[in-house]
Amino acid sequence: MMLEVLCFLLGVHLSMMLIASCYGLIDLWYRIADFIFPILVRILVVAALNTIFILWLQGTNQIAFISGQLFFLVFHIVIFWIGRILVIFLTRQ
Amino acid sequence: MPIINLNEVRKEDIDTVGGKGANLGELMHQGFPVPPGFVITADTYAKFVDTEGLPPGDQIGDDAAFCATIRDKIISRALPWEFEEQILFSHEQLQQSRQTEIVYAVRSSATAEDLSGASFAGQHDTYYYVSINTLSMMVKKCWASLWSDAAFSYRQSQGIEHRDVKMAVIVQEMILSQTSGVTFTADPVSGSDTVIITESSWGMGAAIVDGRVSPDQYIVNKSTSELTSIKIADKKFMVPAILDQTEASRLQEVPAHLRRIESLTVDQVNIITSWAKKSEAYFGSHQDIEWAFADNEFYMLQSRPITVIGQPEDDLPKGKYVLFKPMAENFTDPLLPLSQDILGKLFPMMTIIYGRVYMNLAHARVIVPLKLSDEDLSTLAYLGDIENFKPRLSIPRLLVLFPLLYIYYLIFAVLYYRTSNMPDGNMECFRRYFQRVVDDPAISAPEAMAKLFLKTSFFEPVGNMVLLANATASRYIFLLQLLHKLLKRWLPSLNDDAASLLTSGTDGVLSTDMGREIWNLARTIKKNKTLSAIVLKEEPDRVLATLRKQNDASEFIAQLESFLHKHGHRTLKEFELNSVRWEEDPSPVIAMIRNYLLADSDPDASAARVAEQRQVLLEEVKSNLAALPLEKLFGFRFRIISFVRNRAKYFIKLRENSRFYHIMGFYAVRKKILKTEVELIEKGALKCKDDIFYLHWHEVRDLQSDTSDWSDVEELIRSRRMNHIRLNKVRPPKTVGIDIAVVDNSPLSGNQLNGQGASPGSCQGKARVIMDPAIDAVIKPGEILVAPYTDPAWTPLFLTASAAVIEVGSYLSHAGTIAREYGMPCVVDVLDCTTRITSGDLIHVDGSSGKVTLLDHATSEVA
Repeated sequence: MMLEVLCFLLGVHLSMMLIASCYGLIDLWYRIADFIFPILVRILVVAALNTIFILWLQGTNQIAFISGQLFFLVFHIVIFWIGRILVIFLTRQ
Repeated sequence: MPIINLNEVRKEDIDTVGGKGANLGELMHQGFPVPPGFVITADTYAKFVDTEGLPPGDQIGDDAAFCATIRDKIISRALPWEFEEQILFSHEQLQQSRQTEIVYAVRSSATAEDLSGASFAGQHDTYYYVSINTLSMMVKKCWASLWSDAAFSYRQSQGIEHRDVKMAVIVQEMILSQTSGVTFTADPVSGSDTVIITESSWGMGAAIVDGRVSPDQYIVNKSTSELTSIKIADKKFMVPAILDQTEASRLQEVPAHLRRIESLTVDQVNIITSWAKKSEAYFGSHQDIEWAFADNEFYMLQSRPITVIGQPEDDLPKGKYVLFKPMAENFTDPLLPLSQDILGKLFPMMTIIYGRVYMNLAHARVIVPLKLSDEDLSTLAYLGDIENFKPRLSIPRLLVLFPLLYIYYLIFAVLYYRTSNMPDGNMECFRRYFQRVVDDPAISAPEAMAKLFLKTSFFEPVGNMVLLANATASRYIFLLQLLHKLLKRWLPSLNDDAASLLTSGTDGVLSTDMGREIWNLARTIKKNKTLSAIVLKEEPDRVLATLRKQNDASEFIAQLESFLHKHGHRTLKEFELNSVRWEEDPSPVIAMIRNYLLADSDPDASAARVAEQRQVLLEEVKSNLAALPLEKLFGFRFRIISFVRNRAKYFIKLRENSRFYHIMGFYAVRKKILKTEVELIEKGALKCKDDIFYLHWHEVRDLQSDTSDWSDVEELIRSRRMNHIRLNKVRPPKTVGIDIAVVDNSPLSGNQLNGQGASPGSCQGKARVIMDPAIDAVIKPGEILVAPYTDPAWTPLFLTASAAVIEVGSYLSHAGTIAREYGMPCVVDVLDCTTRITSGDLIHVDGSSGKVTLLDHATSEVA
């Protein structure tokens, strides 16, 4: 059980890092010519880490890991849209 | 009698001539220099308006239409011819000895006015520049002002019966003053009875009374009549004695050479003080006196009791609040209403109190898992001295909060990773976004604020990055603490300031670069004697025009334009949307260049010296660590220290640079507001520049859509100006709703003032108190700068000063950052330092311990 929880948390963390890496494309958009290579490398490295763990973990641990990743992805999208709605609400005033 | 000569009026005649009239008549009788005139009695008004026939107040209720009907009747009815004859006769009696046609000041004097228990100040009208041809109409307008909505509402709220209040009208020769002002024989804010406060400016007093002018301030010790303080304001506008009939507005610009010089001589201050004391002695109460000087002749225009003594209790919100330090350390003045409105809406967790931004502690307490008293929590929220702060962990609260803390981590972790390694100059792309928002006419001022800070456009890559970067850069606090603890643990013999020195000297900090670029501008000018002379001798706002005519100034002009392109959105008090930016008026930049020309110091030499000290310290750390177990083999301690140090430097730079772009965002909002202001002035919805900043945005929208017009906002703007003046004099408390022990900084506490060390080192020297570098920016090498706050516009002063003592600030405030870069001691958060220390005092500053010691008071005259 404890191991599954740890796998879940690891999945959350790596999902977080993958999303943060992908944001690099947006954050450095105006300087993309200079930074495209390091951004892509970072995305690939984190993606590779994710893949390794998915392939290496078995059974419930693997399910827990993937659940963690999906959980954070959904959580991030929800928070993103809540933030946008909040902004729209504030600016409507 | 419908008209009484002013020299026949006595104080007992209040029912006949109103409070103001009775006061003036009595003053004249007692020999005070009151301008001559006559009074149209209150009975004349009563007969004209037929006050006996008015219904009682409870029958009228809040009927605004009733007021409007009475006002219209008063204005449209003709005065009885016999009365007109008497006015003409009184005028001829005054005119007979004059060379030029007299103009009058026509002032209302209600019979319930100017009494100690109530003040109708500003609610009944006053008219200036009135000739005999328009005198009758102005008299009727004064009568009608008794039925303005504001006066009517005030009487209702005070329970004053409308039938019982009558209006006399004072017609006095208008003094064509060169200087005028107001004097209080007690401090109207603190209630102190030991001072006489005089505020003065050029031209007519109307501009001061209306709050359109920042006046000079003179404080005199009442018992000794000694002038103890002079504060010279930047007097941009005046109402001249002689109007230019071609000008639409009475408000005119003050000539540049008069803006920053004293509007009163010491002799004039003594004359005012003498008459103020006599007035107070005669009336037996503290007085609020309006006066004027014309051809060096003193005239007392009005004297009335001060009706508001001490700080009035504002409507304080319930709850506990602490001053929002990141804003207060850059700008201690109250925000104007429009700035409050636009900023306040976007940051609802903040509250505006006394015109300043406060944080609600209730929000912080919910999420902080520490056992903290209100005082400790406010110290933490205020970013106070947390060195000696030893909070206890609340385990039960931590357990309950753990899920919340985890959610907080989930929400912000992506952002933390995104901002962990941003390349230098990345936020510069915000400038493009700024320009797009400015150029889009469909975006209003509040929308611009939202777009530039909160990202409403999905496809805008930079969006709200600067805000997010600033929010996440607060990690520096923990990293600095960690670095300090690591050094203490591994190298306890090392100086306490080592962490500060090790984290200074970061390249690419925009506000430090700005100071360097101004120095480079000064160096360019210095190479040419002619250009140097122009900068040193001419007024800053004329220098650029003169330089443009010089052929050999082209290099400097190009350099200046490049500087303004990069830094033109900056200014003093840059959080205030009303502050004029350097791009709009480069004269403050010219003034800073001039200060550099006058200074003997070289910032490059200072920076090199600090860099050398830093390098020596780093080597000392490395060599001392080598003595510890396994360090020579693995070097892990030094690697950890280097890592923490570099991370701290990175976040310090991130925070400082994100602020640079915040200000750019504010400039975009200001541009939008100014565009709207031009439109409203052109269509007559606003009358004066800057009036828009005294409205809230929904009121501006109403003016744009013609839902309201000037008459709906005129009084509102006026009362908000008055309130702003009052708030300017209020020192904002650090906390609201919390009883905390105030640090005792009185001279009785061993002449020591306590603050927070922001840059290490110690130094002794003469203090130079500077309240506003736009007005008073001369500091001699070796002097110690004492200031209420600083922002990047103060940077050149740091070059000359040997140390800095700042009233509001934090370790990472501008003052602390720049002081560390220049290697000079700095103590921030020193309560009351600008009042406890005067220019010329000998002080000792210890930037390591955060203590300032007053060694000797200045013996020279007021600085």
